[in-house]
Amino acid sequence: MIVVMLLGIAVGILIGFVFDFSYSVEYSFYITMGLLAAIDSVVGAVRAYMEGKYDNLIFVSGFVINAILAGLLTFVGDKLGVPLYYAAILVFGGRMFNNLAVARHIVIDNIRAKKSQNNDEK
Amino acid sequence: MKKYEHQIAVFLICLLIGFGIVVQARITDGQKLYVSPGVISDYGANIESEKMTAGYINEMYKEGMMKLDLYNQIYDETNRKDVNDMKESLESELDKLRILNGTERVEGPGVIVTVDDGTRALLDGESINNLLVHDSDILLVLNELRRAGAEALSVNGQRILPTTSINCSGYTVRINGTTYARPFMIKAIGNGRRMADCLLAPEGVANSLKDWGIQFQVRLTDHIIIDAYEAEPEFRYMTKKEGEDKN
Repeated sequence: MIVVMLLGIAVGILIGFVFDFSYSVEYSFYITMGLLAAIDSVVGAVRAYMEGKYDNLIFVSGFVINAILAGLLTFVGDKLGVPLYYAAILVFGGRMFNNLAVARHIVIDNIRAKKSQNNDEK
Repeated sequence: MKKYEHQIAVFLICLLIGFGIVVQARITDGQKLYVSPGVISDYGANIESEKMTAGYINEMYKEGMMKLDLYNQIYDETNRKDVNDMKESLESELDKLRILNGTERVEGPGVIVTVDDGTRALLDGESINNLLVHDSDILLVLNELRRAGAEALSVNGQRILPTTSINCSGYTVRINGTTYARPFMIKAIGNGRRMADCLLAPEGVANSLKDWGIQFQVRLTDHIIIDAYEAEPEFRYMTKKEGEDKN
């Protein structure tokens, strides 16, 4: 799973450098929000994978819906003159750390369990 | 295939993340981040107006180039002597207009009239105003000089234009928006004898002013220099009338 993720990011960066893709600066904010949603989804997927309850549909739909909501908040905030995208940044950021912490706990627990198993075998 | 489904999804999203980060970093370069679309649209409006200005300037440039072409064409078609003649006549015309307008420094023979407040003792209960030089006195002198054929006039170095006004401001006099105090030195270029005679005539301005007690002096000079009006005269309401038209 981790290998697949790293491979994906590497290939993505490669594509980004090879193709000189560009868009209007006006949309850069929406792209940033979409990026944040994607990173959040991936960290969430890692956690779910560690817990053994990963669901493909939940992962993809979560990413799409979150990205759309973040973009919508940014758009409406811009129209109203209130930075509503702060909500999206806070939620995505907070959840990222949360999920990462849970995943880390699971990994450490697994390692400890393995160690104690090894010790028992000895 | 089913087995790899989740890996494919994760791979694709990670691909998107990497790609997005690179593209975004390239575009913003860590500098243009956090600029709201409102600010961007403001800049857009600025750019639009600048573009419009640039368009106007371009049009002006094109017009100027067309005129230049026309002049060059005329220059090519006529021979050099004709062009020089035309240039000379245009330049002399311009000089004449400038002199008339008061925007050219001029010299010539004429008179220097000095008017100053009276020094005699005031009569009992007499107003001090009787001894002071007023704007109207200067106007009278100027009018008299013009009547006697003065071609250029100045008061205390301030050129008198066709549009000049002279008015009273306390103990001083305002001419062309500048304030002057006594003594008033009026320079006039023209036929000196005639102007002096006109001023000093028995019923003339000089005698009437002297009767009030004001000091009045006329000096004939062979060479007077009268400075130009410093500012460019501008007309805000007046434009040239094109074509023949009965009023």
